[in-house]
Amino acid sequence: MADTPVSPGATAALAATAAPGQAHLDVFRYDDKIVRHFTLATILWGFVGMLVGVIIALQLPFPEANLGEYLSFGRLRPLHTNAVIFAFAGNAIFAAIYYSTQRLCKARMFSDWMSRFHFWGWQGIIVAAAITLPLGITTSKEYAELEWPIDIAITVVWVVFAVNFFGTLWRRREKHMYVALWFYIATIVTVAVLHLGNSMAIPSSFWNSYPIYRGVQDALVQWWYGHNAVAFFLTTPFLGLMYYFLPKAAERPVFSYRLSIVHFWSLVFIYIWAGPHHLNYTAVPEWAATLGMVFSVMLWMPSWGGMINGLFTLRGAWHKLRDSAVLKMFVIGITFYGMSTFEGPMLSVKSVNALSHYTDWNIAHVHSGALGWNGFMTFGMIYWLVPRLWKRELWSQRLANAHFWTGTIGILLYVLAMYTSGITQGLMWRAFDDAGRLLYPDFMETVIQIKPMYWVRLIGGTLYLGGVVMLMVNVWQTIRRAPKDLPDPAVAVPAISGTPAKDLVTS
Amino acid sequence: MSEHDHIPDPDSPLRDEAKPTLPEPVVGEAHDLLIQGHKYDGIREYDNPMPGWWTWIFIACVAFAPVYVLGVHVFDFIDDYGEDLAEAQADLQQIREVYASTGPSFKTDAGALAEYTADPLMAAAGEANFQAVCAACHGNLGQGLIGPNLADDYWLYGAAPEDIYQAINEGFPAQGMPPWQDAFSDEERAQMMAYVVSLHGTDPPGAKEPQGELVVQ
Repeated sequence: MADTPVSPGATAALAATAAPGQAHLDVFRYDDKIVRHFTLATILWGFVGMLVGVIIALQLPFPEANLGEYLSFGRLRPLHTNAVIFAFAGNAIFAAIYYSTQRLCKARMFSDWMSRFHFWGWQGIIVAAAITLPLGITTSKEYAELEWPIDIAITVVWVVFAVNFFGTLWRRREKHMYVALWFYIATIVTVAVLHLGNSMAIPSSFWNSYPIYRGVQDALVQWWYGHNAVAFFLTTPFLGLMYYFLPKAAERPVFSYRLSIVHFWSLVFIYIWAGPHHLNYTAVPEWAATLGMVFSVMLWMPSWGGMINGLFTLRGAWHKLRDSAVLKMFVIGITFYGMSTFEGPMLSVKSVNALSHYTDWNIAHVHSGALGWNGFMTFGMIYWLVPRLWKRELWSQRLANAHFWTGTIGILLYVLAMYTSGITQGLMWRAFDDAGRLLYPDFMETVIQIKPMYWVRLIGGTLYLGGVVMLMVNVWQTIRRAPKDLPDPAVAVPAISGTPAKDLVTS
Repeated sequence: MSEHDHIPDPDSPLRDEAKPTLPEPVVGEAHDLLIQGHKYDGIREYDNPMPGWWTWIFIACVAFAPVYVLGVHVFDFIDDYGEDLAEAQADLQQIREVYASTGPSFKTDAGALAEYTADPLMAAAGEANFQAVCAACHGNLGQGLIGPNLADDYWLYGAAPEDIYQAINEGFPAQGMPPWQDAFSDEERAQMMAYVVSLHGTDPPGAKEPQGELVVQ
């Protein structure tokens, strides 16, 4: 479907020239201002979330860095995970969705008011989290720590987002929905179900509540949620992001439409059952743990379908990596996606889990996903988006390349340190001497053994954060030089009769 | 995908440079044919098949699932948790028996324990392990912190060497003291017992108030 970028002054003239008998052109504008908002919020919260990560990484080998009750490890750790997942990755996927959905639907977002409400509502929720978590206000459910008033606010904002998104789909001028949109739909629907399901609680005061589930059922619901937060907040929206921004940046067709269909449906169907693998070797019934394991094993190839379609899309474009920091970041991101989605099923296998459970191996696993996949897909997208959103070439390609290398070395140090630490812990905990007694009966012995690895992890995390600072400088210098007036880009596409067009530019 | 019209992709990396217009199909299948009509904001899609290795590994993983589930929970040809645990415990038991029959023997009857308390070398040997695991609750001088004072004349569970030895072995889990018999050898625990006895009457600073019964020795 042809779309023609139109200069702002020419829009009215264009709309008027559509004579009877000719294909009528709808002229409208994309809302890029909201994408700029979400992009800047992504960068800001990414810095905050990762800075808190570096602080808690310091607190483990150097306990003196626990500065009082409110800034102690136990309070800051959920702040770190919430900030990175829901503030950094969250704003990144909203930027991706608001930018690509409008273009894939050939329509402006359904409601500007809803877009603004979504943006400011979400930032308000993040600020509420940043205040309540250090104060110790928590449900103590991992990745769902926020108390019930904030949970209700999340529900309201998410519903507004959903109406805005589906309204845009409804008004689209493109017959088919591209694969990126399927992944966005799966994200929006499933996150709503997960959030409502896991947050069901009876309030006992304004800042306290009790879940309606009890004991092992509560644990199963929690990890049904926790695992699928990874699936539908950190995987499906980022696959949608990949399917839009990677072919755009590489200027290559997507490798296989058929693979995208099969891996989409198999991924969304299988992911939802895999949660109980988080509860291997606990009080859940063994059949539930078995179910979680076999669904995790089945999930391996559906996950790799996304990796294959991403990497194979670059066939014939690999030479572009030399000059493109964006493509380099996408390739590292997709590679880490492939590694961590092989590692996930492997860790769910019970005999592997017997060694890995409760160790730092899990910390390595989630950070290869978050820093590698989510982080670098986001950075690649930002470096691609910023020149287009602010109508100005990126300030420094060299700095973007430096970000790529600093971040990559940072991740490698981070995950290698945590693999070493995790496997050391697992082996020490299960070691017996020749008299049949535990070789390391005192937990402290393992802590002392892995302490050097905590310092290496701190160095890796600090390098990665340094890369984010480079991104901030680069984006800031680009925006400083950008034109002051940034009108929303106008486009003209053939009108589809019967489509309710509310976003038209009128003269 | 026969319903789609195929058009050759002029940008295909598999395109034969000598024949720039229509690429030949590669390895028996049509590769890199664009799907007509699939163009979304400029993004086009190839009608490529899924890689064979991908499809077959996926099928193998799906086939594995019922085999594993039935093997563990129905037909019992794969060990479940209880069986794994029993096997590991039997192995451990065997290791302990072999050690008991071949390893160094060490007497722990009441008479032997009483003799150890008279041996200053035994008490000295127990200090390091006392500081490692006991001091956190009983104080580094045995003056008592969360745990009772070990240096005074008052005892909750008996003051005899065998009473103290048993307390170290089995602990008082309900009161928060863990058992140590799996963590230390008989000899090490006897050394720790001797060290505890040696603390008696040292009157350390910051002593905790007496608990239990007065035992006159």
